Amino acid sequence: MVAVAALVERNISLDTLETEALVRGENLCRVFGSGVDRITAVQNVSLDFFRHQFCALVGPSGSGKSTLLQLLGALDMPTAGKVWIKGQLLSDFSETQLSDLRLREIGFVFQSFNLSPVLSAWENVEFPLLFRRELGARERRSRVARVLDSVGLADKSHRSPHQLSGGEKQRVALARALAGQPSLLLADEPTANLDHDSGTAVVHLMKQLTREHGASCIFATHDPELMGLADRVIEIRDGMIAGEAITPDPLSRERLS
Amino acid sequence: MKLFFALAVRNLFRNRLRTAVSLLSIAFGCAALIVNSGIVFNIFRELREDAIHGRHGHLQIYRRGYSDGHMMDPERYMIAQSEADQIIRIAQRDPRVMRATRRREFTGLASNGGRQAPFIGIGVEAADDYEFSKHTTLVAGSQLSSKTGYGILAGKGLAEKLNCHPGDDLSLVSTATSSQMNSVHVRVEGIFEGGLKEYDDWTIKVPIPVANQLLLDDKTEQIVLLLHSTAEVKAVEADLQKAFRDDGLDLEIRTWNQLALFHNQVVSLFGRELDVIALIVATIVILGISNAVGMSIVERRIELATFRAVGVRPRALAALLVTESGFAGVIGALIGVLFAIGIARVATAVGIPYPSPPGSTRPFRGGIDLAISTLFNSFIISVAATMAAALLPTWRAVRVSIADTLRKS
Repeated sequence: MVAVAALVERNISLDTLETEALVRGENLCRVFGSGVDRITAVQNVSLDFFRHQFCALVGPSGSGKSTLLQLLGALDMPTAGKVWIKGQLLSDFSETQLSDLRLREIGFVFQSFNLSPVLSAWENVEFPLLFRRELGARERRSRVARVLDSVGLADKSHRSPHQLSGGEKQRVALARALAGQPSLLLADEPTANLDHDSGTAVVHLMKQLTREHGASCIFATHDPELMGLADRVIEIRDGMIAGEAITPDPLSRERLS
Repeated sequence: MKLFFALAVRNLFRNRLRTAVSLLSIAFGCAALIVNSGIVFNIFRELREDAIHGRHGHLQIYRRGYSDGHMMDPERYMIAQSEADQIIRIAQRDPRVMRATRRREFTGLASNGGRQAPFIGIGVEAADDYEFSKHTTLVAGSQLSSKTGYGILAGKGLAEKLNCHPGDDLSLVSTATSSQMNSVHVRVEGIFEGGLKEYDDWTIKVPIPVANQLLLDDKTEQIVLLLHSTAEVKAVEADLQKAFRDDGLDLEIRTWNQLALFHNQVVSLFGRELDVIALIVATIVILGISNAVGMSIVERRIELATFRAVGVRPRALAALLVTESGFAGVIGALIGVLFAIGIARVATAVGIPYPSPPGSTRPFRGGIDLAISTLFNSFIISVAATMAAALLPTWRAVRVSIADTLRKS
């Protein structure tokens, strides 16, 4: 736990640490099935993620990265253990409260983009914002325009997903995830369906935009090259943390030390 | 919310073939409701007009207590000539009243040579009878008129029993109000068919002067009114009650539907049948559409799970899916309404041939009656059924695990 150690070195108490951790998982286990079909996807994982981190979860296919992301993103509940987001224990939340938490605090980017084919790029980005009642129409449109501009798709905003390339679709998905200005961006294998260049460009964009938005990002990948872009790398193997490293990213180092 | 509704509409047309089949199912269901109701309402209308223009008129006016007591003491409820004139004058002051006439009912025995048959006599004002009997079919001879004199009309069944024809002479025997037996000789002017077998088997229509001669007085039993519009019956009844009271007349007014027992029984029976048909059609629509909605949801499960993942509440997602079905219901029901209007117009123009209904003596040619309320109710039932069809698939869709769905993608 290098990040924790770094904070401890700065004489920050563990109580403060709990409140400062953006996401905290404690003894997380996720088991699927029962009897002979029982599969333990995540076992005894404890970790903390802090603000402004750009973190990669790495490991082979089936190692439990996606399941861990789903637990941290309030999409799934652990069989055992607890998850806190901004100090709030998720198991205390109702289904509606979890929806609201995801709407306001978490952005998701999926491997297969998961865009609605009947909505344009603009509408895909705008759709979740419709459910943010505090946002007026003007603010909503302004956010969509800004975020589409920032992913370089301002001129293609009227296009349907089938009129966009894979990289462009993933940029729309990234725009959708960031339009709500979440604290946490979770991306599950965001480059798996993209060619190398597009994938690298998307991860660079994710890193740049999460920093601009002041968000943290956790993304799952098994591409060694993309790990180098992260300022924290956690290796998952057989559902457990097999190792962790801080990469020499100047900005991250500056924040952690 | 424009985007919300746009999404609902666009989702509706994602799978055009399936949507077309769903819309046709809704349209046929809606059209079936309208056409079935229209046919039944047309039959109701035929029966109603038969009752009004064949037997009862719109309103009948008696001395108070007549309905309950006239069988026990008929003399007590007779209306004197002068009083009958006063009632008719008051009634005819109302512009909604088209015609007012006197009637008197009595019973007796008719004989045609060696043949005899009991009858129910209706004393009518001969000049008015045609107007009050428009739904009575004259099968032989001619109508009564002011020049008729001793001419009478015999029901078809009674004429067969007596073996009489237009031009034949009959003897009518009855008990006069003074309890003595009396008889008159009359001539068969015409033979009618009133639609109800019992009516045709027993009834003779006699001009009131002839009835008075037979019954040895000049009294009247009832005043019958025809209105310009059946819809005004209740209002005219209330106004006439007040007018009669104001003139010091203590009278009882009965409306046609209080008298038309056969009509009421048919309406009650078929009205229930209409409700059952509506339930069956709604069930068929629900079962048919829920399958299509379910298929649509299964195909879009990843997209729906993604919506949930990005923060759309279960209730909002359910609203989206039910709204989609609502749009399908509205479009399908509109098509159904237009389709039904087309069918109704053609069927009414061509005419639907019906055999004699139960208790009736003649077949008739009907149509399909379209009422705004029928169109509206069928539209609402169709839309509601379509939305109801979405409830179970929607409930399932919002309950599935987001993580499981996304994991399987």
